This record gives sequence, structure tokens and C-alpha cells, in this order.
Amino acid sequence: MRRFIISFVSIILLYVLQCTVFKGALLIGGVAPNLLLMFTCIVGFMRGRRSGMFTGFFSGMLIDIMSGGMIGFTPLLFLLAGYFNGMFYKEYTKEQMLLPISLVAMCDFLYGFIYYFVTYLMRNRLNLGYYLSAVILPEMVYTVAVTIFAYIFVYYINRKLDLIDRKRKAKNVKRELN
Amino acid sequence: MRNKLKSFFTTKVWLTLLVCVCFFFIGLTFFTDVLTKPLQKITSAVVIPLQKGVNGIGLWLTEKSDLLVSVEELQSENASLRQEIEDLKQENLQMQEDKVELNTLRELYELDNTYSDYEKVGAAVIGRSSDNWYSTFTIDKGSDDGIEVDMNVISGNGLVGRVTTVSDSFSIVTAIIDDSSNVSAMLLNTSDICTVSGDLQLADEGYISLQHLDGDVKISDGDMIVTSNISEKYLEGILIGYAKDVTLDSNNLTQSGYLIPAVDFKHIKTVLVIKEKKIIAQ
Repeated sequence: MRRFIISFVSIILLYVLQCTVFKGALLIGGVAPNLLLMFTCIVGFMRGRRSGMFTGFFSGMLIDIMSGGMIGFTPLLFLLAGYFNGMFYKEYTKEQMLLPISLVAMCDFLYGFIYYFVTYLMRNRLNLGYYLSAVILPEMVYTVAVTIFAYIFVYYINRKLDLIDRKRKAKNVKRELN
Repeated sequence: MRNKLKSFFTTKVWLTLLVCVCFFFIGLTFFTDVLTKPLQKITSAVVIPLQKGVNGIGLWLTEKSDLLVSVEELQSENASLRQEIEDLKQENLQMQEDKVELNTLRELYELDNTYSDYEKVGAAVIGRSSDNWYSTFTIDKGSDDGIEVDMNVISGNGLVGRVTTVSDSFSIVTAIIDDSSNVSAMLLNTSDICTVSGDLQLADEGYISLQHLDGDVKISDGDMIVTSNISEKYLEGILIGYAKDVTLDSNNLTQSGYLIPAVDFKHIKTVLVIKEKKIIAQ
């Protein structure tokens, strides 16, 4: 329950940050990072397929509902990203950062590419080279840069929550023994 | 029973379920928006106050950093501004004389509703689209303040866009530089019709594309482009921007080029929503 609330609050905070600060003062080269996709990937990697999937679903729903267009496409892509990252859950214990970061990079690139394909290519915007170099790749680089900080942050929060869980479990075992 | 349920809801089942929910929503929103409105109401109740708060902090910070501008700079600016005031006073006198003339002429033509007379409502921009593909703004006024879909939005003296989504406490404005936006426009001095369409590639350089202008129309850089009288969604005569590099197309029939928007879309903070909608005689 505690994890659920923390994730929920984080999703909303990240969304608000993305729409205000990152689209305003922290806009670099005309692009903002995709914070929610990054969060989904990190959670999927740290907590497994199911958590990643739900985080992706709710993040995507938030984006689509607030953007006022079609609902359902972003959550679909995000939940698949969360599920995909969850498949590497076993590697998490090795405490290295290269894998999650390359996973985030890959997911963001794929997301940008699919998004371009569905919303821009279908409207006869054929200049893929431009969109790659002006939107998709810069967004990926920026997201990766943010991930390096965010990953450490989420890592410590996750470890703290793990500790609390373990303590509580120990208490329960003690009570049962008594 | 509980264990049975738990063992049924494996991760793969959840995946299938959520994917189905997504497809259900895609299908539903494709045809109707019955569910969109209540969902927006619930999420905006949480998100919009937060967005306003964060936006407020950002504004406060920029205000404080502006305060740190050196005194010298301010003094020299003050001197030049004083000079400008004198010039403007002079100009103003001239203008006032012109205005009397204009009013009498307008009365003659019964043309008293230019867009300065429309009822407007001010709104603050509290957020932008979360992705890098679209140019939409979230403003802090919604249907509670009388805003409706398709109302025109201006800033300063130029067209920003139109309202495309309305909820109780916020609405979404699609800018004219958005990749999917098309505005029917005309040249102010000759009333020749053209189309102004947003393009992500050009928006990066600060332009919008201008198309479908008749080949025999004479147009030069800096000509004013305003919304046209035949536009379905936009009121007539709102300034969009200034023409640039308009050349004859290869088909020799139409001209196209760029348009420099009158509004600085990168630093937009407040906008005015015109509370009057275009009514088209059927």
C-alpha cells in the first residue's frame, strides 16, 4: 500500500514537473525528457513485470487524459515498456547502472519512433531524418541524462522501503513465535 | 477462494487485461467522449492545483532573478524610455486625431466590431503538452469561467490558437504552430486568401508555413497576414503574423512561403480568450 501511494504521488509529480519546469526553464534544444516513460522503465526494472506494467498504465492514462485527445495509445505503449523492463528484473541485484540506462534509452527511442510513425507519418510528414535528429534522438539523450540521477534516487527509496518491509516481516514472525 | 483468485491473476493475465482496457479506451474515444469528461474532472482536481503551484514558483523565481539586474542598466534604460515617452506622446496626439477620423469612417461603414471590442477573458498558461510533438498549452480557465471549445485565443495583438478541450477548471489551447493546425488567412491589404499551417520543422526556426496563395497576388516581406473572413473557426481580422520569402510554386499557380508569427510562442505566459465564437450563416 505504501509503495502504491509513493508511486502514485511520484507519477503525478513527474507529470507536473514535465509540463511546467521541463517544458519551460529546462527545455534544452527544444526538447523535454520523457520523465514518465523513464520512471516506468526504472520501476519495471527494480520491481518486476507487474509493477512496471501498472506504473506504465497509470502514467500513460494521466498523459492521455490531460492532453484531451484520444485515450489509450500512450498507456498501451507505456505498459508494454514497463512489462518489457520487468523481464530484466533478475539482473537488478547486480547493482550496475549500464543495463537500466540502456533499457531506458532503447524504450524512449522506440516510443518516439512508434509515436512518429502513428501520428506524423500518417499525416504525410515523410522527413524521418529531421524528426530523428530534432526530436527523437535529443529526447533520448536528455532522458538518459536525467535517468542517471533519477535511478540513484529511486534506488535509495526502493531500498529504504525494502528495509521497512523486512523489519515488519521480522516483527510479524516474532509475534507468531511468541 | 481468495487463493484461487490470486493464482488466476498472474502477470500475463494482468497484461492481457490492461492491453484490452487500452484498446477499449482507444475504441471508445474514437467515437465518443462520454468517459473523457468525468476522467478529466477527476485527474484535473489533483493535477491542476499542483501545476498552478509549480508554475507560480517558477514565475516567482524569474521575478527575483529579474530584480538582480544591475542598477546601471536600469538607469540607461530609464533614460532611453523617457525619450521614447516623449516621442510616443507626439505620436499619440497624431493618433488621437486619426482616431476621430476613423470612428466617423467606421460609423459610415457600420464596421464597429473589430476584435478589440470583443469580450475577452485573461488566463495564465500553466503548462505545456508533455511530449515534444505537439504545441498545446494548458490554461487555468475552464468551463466554469465560460470558456467553450473553438473560442479564439490571442496574446498581445496576435493570434495564439483556439481552445480544443475544455474541462471545469482548465482548458487546452492548440497553438497555430502545432503540426496539425491549419488556419484560413488573408492578406490585410488585398484580402487575398491563403492557408497558414503549422509545421514542427519550421516551428523550430520560428516560422509557420504559408500556402495556397494565388500566383498573381503581389506580396512582399513584412506584409500583414490576418485571419480570413471565410474561416470556420477563427474570427475575422486577427493578426497572425508577417509574410516572409513568399515565392511562386513549381506549379506556377500558387505561391507559398513562410510567416513570422506575431506572438512569441516560446515565452508565452498569459493569453486572452475571446468569448465570442464565429457564427456562420447556414
